[in-house]
Amino acid sequence: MRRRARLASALLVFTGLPAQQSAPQDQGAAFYDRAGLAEAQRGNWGGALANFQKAIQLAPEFAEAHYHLAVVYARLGDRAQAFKACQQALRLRPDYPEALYMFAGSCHEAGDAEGAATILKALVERLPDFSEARYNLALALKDAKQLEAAAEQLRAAAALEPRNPKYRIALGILLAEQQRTEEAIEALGEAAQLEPANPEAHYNLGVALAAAGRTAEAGKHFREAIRLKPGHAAARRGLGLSLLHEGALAASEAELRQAAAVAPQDPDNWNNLGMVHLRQRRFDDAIEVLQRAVSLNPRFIKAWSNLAQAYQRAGRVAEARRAAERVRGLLAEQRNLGRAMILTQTAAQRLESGDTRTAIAQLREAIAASPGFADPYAELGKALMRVAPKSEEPVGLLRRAAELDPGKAEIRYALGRALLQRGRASEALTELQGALRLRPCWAQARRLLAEVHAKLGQAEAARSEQQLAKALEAAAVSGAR
Amino acid sequence: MRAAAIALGILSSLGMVLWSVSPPEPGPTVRFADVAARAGITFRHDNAASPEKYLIETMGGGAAWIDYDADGFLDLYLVNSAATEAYRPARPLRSALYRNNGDGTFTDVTLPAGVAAEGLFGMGVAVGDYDNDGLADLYVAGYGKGILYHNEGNGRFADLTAKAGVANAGKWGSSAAWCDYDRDGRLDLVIVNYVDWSVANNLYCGERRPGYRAYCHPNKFRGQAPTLFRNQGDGTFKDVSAASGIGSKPGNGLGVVCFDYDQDGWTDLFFANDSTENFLYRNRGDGTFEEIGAVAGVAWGENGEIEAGMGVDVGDYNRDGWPDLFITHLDLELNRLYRHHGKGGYEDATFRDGPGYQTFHLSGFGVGFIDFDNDGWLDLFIANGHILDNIHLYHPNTTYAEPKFVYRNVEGKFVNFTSRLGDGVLRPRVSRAAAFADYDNDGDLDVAVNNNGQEAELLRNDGGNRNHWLQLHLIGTRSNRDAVGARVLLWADGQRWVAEKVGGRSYQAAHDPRLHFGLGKRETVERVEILWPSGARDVIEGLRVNQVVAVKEGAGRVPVAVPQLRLRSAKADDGP
Repeated sequence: MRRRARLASALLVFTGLPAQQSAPQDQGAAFYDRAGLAEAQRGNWGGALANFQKAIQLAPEFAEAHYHLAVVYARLGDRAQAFKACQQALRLRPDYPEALYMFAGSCHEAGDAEGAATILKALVERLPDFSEARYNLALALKDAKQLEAAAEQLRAAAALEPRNPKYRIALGILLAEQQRTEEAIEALGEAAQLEPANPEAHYNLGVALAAAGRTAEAGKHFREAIRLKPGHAAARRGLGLSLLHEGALAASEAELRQAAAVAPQDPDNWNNLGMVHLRQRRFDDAIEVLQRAVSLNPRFIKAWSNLAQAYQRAGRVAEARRAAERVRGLLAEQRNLGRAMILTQTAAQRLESGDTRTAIAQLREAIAASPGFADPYAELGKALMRVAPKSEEPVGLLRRAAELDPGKAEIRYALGRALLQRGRASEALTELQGALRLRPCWAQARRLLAEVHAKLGQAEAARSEQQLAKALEAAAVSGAR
Repeated sequence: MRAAAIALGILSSLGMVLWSVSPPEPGPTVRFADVAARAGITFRHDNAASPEKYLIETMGGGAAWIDYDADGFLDLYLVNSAATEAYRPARPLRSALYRNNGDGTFTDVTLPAGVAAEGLFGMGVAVGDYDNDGLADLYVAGYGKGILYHNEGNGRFADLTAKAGVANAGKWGSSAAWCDYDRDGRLDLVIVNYVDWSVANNLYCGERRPGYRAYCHPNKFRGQAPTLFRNQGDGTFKDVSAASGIGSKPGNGLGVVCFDYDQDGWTDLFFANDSTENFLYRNRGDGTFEEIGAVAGVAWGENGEIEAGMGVDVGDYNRDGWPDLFITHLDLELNRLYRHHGKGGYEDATFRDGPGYQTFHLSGFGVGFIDFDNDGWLDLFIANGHILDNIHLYHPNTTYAEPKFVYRNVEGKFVNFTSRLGDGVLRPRVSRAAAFADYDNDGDLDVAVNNNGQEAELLRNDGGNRNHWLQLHLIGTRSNRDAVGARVLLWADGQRWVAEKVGGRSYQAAHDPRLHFGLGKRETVERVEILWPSGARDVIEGLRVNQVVAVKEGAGRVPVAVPQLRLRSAKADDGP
């Protein structure tokens, strides 16, 4: 995520996008803006910041200066201020491509892949040769589970910049995840040829080759990735696992141990070592590393089950049984969660088709099956808002959902709406602001937030949100075209 | 780095793959030819496929070898499904019994035999002489109920389900097995049950795009515990699931095998569960069982993978005298070989001795440790076929119909031999049950396969009898007549084989009741020792190879208890 934001900022600054700067009425503001750009070109970010701030002081409606300020903040690592300045640029100039691009990056970084994709689609339509935008669009589409569309963008980016291996690496990873192994190998092989010193190309090619059963070739590329970047823990892990599957236990152990040394907080590394020790029949060693794996992640089913095995083989039967019980408990939770998920999905469909009674029953069943799962509380809250609009139960359910999954913007939005309907605008404000922190590109939520601001008599804030919503909606319409 | 994180996920979760076949290894010239049509077996399974994607549509139907007319040739029973609320076939669906004419052809005798199981959405099938009258009876497991067909001895069967009390009503029986868990000389019935799916609780799964609706994962429903019916000796059974402990834990059960895992003389039960832990129930010898799958190392795979257990078989593949296990799983998982380490449990030998990742893109169901080339080492036959009929939409490299895979055992290591065995193996099918038997009595093991929504296959083994063999037909007296649970030790040329007459095996299938030993080029069998479930012991010495030998408990070798076999093989038969 951080990498994506950095990337976006770097691209925006002074390369890539065509300049579309419009001169402000205030000549002084224009002067400071130009001075800021000059400082930025020299890498003097502090000086640039001061100049852009002066430009804005003289001409608060100067969209470009706000955007430039945002870029500088991003360069200085102040993401909150960067985002704020970027929003301001967009409010002032809703069709501002650079600001939209940056805003999309922020949305994606916040987890709003769909929102980011919508904006980036619009940009790609306007600027079809902008390969980095296609790349970032592909990443957003991938996170939004639109895999085919993501691959299409990566292919287009690779065609635009055939010498850049990055697009082929991303394409290869995407194809491998779709189990299109041979295509993945082709793309990653091209990337490795384009840039033989790129450890990521070799590492990912190794993974794809391993997935095709070509373990010897995979090992070669893992080794090359390690040679290029000795601290490449993932490559060491890949090599270690390949060696484990080939039965080369000592060599596997050596690689996996190094991977664990590089990334000791990753429980997978300790679990992998545990697997090797189990094969080596070094049960006490296996117990030691597997205990470490489960202490790092107490819900790590595979490590618990390996630990049960290790205890059993070491003759520690009572501990083996306890570890096995832990596995069973975790599996039961997993199963109940799976059932609750599908019940919730089915109920949502029933709600759409008007079968509210059955949907409510299914949602209650889902809650009973997995009480720690937020979605059925939220869906039930929404359903009850329809059938019992004055009841307090929906608010309670939505609050519970938000507590269980504070990272879900849709829940905060629904809660905000429920509160607004009950005239509790101040509480609604908090929830909607929370929702927008999670999904900054969500125009509908911005509209509702504007409504809340208006109810609270905050006219300026309401107008500001309306403007931003309008910019986002315009981008969405353009992207849909 | 983002790229690194993603790709690492692939390696650890998807693993390495191949279903291209290994380079040919030197070995015997054996072919499996599909002779079903030629033999008159026209059965086509109907899986009642519907747009509602009922889970029962995925399971296939069973296959069983049963010598129902006791003429010495094994007949074939194939299980079918039934109409559902979403599928109304023009004609009622029927299971089928094909009588083996003894000349390579079969005749459909379903209706006169009375075993059509019409209206039953059938699943697995088990064959056993539960009343010790010398005639093989049938139990057909199914969705919502099962049927017990008692062999009347006149070419007909009677449905005695209600009288016997083995309907297994309200449960979704998948596979079944006969075994004598309490060693009282009577076969008991074990049914492995799946999940609580019903039309009423059917769900929409998969993507909401045309053509993408998919069958739901079984974990979307509640698992069902297995059922154990104790044979009371008067034609009735008592459900002892709860009292015995067998019914204590729900699991999405699909495969079952009864065998004595710790060789303490008491039959234990293994259940292959789909996406839940497998169960190994150790028989305490007092009518109760203790579930020890996790501590015995067979509840899940190496690295703790909980996989979609389908079929299971047991056999001593490395000839160390201990019973090993092989379990088939769905694609993106591994078929697992569990080696008995002789200290009360198992270790996962999938990579050390087994197929490793080679079956990663295949969905295995029916499976058998069979010595197809009679070289003295148990090979592996795996029938494959995906669950989702639209899997290509989700995984472009995966297909619904898949080839079978056969691994030749080269002194304890499995080598892919699929490409050498002919079209009968290579032709992609949506295979489910695989039942193993020497139906043509030529000394090598053939395979019947029931394919989901497709024609059944009869894969005749041509060439397996170039090596020598011996088959043992065991007849219990104090023990159950089928001798399920008997353990046999055989010595030839100074080497030893150990085998057990187990109940169940494979997936929804029943097999040749004779114990089959491949002997390579060995000309004589020095000694055969049979340890009967009753505790009795019989020893026979000095047997010639290439024959069926009948042994009666307490009486030793006896004239064959079934009519004279008409061997097609050119090999001499010096049997009685």
